[in-house]
Amino acid sequence: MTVDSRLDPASAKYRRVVRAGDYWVHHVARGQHLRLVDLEGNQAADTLFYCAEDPSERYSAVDTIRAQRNVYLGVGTVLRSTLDRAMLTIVADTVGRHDTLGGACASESNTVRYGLEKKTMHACRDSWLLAVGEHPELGLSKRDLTHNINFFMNVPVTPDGGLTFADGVSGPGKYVELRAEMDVLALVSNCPQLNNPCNAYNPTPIEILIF
Amino acid sequence: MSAPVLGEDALAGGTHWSFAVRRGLTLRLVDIAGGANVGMLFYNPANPLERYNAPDTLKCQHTFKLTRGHCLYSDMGRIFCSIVADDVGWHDTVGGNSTRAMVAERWGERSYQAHRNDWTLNGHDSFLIEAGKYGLGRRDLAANVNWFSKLAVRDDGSLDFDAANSRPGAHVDLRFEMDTLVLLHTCPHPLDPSPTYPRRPVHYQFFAAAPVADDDFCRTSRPENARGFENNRLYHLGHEGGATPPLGHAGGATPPRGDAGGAMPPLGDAGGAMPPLGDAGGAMPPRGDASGAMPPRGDAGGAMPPRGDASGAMPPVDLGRAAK
Repeated sequence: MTVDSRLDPASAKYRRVVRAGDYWVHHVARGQHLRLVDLEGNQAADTLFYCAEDPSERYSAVDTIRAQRNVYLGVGTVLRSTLDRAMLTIVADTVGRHDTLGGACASESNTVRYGLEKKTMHACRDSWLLAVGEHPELGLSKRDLTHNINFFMNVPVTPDGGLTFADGVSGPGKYVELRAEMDVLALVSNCPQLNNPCNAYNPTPIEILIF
Repeated sequence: MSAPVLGEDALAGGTHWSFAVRRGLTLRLVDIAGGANVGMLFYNPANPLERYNAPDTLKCQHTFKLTRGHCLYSDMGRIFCSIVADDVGWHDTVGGNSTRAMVAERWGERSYQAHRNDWTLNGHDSFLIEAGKYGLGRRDLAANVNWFSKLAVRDDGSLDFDAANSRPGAHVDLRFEMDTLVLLHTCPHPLDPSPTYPRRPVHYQFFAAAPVADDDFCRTSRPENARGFENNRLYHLGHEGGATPPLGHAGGATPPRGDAGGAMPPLGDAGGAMPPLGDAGGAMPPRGDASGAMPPRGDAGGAMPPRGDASGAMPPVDLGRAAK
C-alpha cells in the first residue's frame, strides 16, 4: 500500500542531502515528521532509532514484527522499542514495503557474503561506528548498534522459509515518512554497499526532511 | 550420536539459565513434551561486544528459518555454532520474546507470593537476569533464537504461529565452533496462542563433537559458510597455542586449551580455559555531564541534548583471570 504525504517539502524545517557512504544522526521530537527520500532509486537507508531520554531503549525489529504480526514495514507500522513502546509510526510511503530482517552490512558480514578479500570495503556498521565515535556526547557505543530498518529495501520471505534480496520496489523520488511518538535520536547510514545487485552496485544519495 | 554424554541437565518450562560452551562440544536440546520454546542468545566470552546477529545469520544464508546445515553467526562474521542435526525443520529467530505485560494480558499475572516458582516468567526479563550475571544488560540484548518454534510467513508478510511444529522428543544439535556464552530461557514464544501459560520442559546434553571435516554438511551447505568457517579458523590462530595474546584481550597469553592434557574438560568453564566476563559495570554514562559537547560533525544537528562522559559508554570489559 502506498500513501502520499500531505506535507509540502517547502514547509520542512530541516532538509539535508546525505551522500552514499555517509551517516546522519539527528534528534526528532515527538510529533515531528521525519521523511527519507530515495533520490535516485533503489538505495538503502540503514536506520536505527533511540529513545532520546534514555538510549538504552531503542528500536526493536523483533518487537515491531511481533506486535504487527508481519515481517514487512509499511504505512501503519508502529516502530516499537526494546521496551515494547511505540517510537514512530509510518504515516506516508510511496514505496510500499521496507525491510527489517536483513540488517546492516558490515566488513565482517561482507567477508562471509561476498569474499574474505572484501573485508576493508566501507560498510554501514563502519559508518555507525564513526558516528558514535565522533559524537561521544550521544553516549552510544558498539553495544547500541543493532538490528535496524532498511528503508527502501525489498527482502521477501518465501513460503518455505527462504530469504531473497529482490530488486528494489523503490524508485527515484520515492519516500517514506514517519511521525515520532516520542523524542527519538535517529541514526542513518546511507548504505555504501558495492557488492549487492539490489542497488545496481551503485550507492546514491538520499534526502532527509524534518517537518 | 554415539559419543558419550559429558553432561546433561533439564529446565522446567518458564525458567532461565546460562552457561559457557567450549568450542568442539555439541549441545543437544530435547523438547520433552512437544511444543517447547527455548529462547537463546550467544556472546563471545572473550569480548561480549561480539554477539549473535540474527540479520547476518539470515542474510548470509538467504534463509528466514533455521534448520540443519545453518550456522549461527556473530556480528563479527564468525560462527558461534552450527546446526548439525534437527528433526524439527524450522526454528524461529524473528519472533523475539514474551514480556511481563504480554504474559499478564494473555495468561494472567501469577505472583511469586501466591505461586512460588510456578509463577509466569517472561522471556525478556529472563534474558535480563541471565545477562546481568555477566555484567551485561539491556543494551546487550539482541534478536534471539526461539528453538522449536515456527512462524510461517504468508505472501503479504503476515505471520502464523505453528503450534504443531515440534513433537515430543524432537531434538536439535548445536555444534559449537568457538567458545560461547549461552543465555537461554524456556518461557513461551510471544505468539504462542495457547489458552494457558505454556510451561514445557527441555532436556539438554553435551557431547564431544567430531572434528569438522572438509565436506562437513554445515560448512558446505552454502559457499558463505565455507568463508564463515575460514573466519573462525583465522580467529583461532590468534587465540590458541598460548604464544599469541588474543586480540582484544587485556594482556596475558591464552591459557592452553583443555585437550592439551588429554582429558577434555567437558563443559565451558572447566579448567578455566575460558576467560571470564568482566565487570561491565556503569552500563550507562552519567547524563548531563556536558564535558565540552563535541562540535557536531556529520550533522549532529545540535538539537540533541549533550550527554555525559562517553568514556562511560563502553563497558570496561575486564577480561579477567588471565590478565590478573
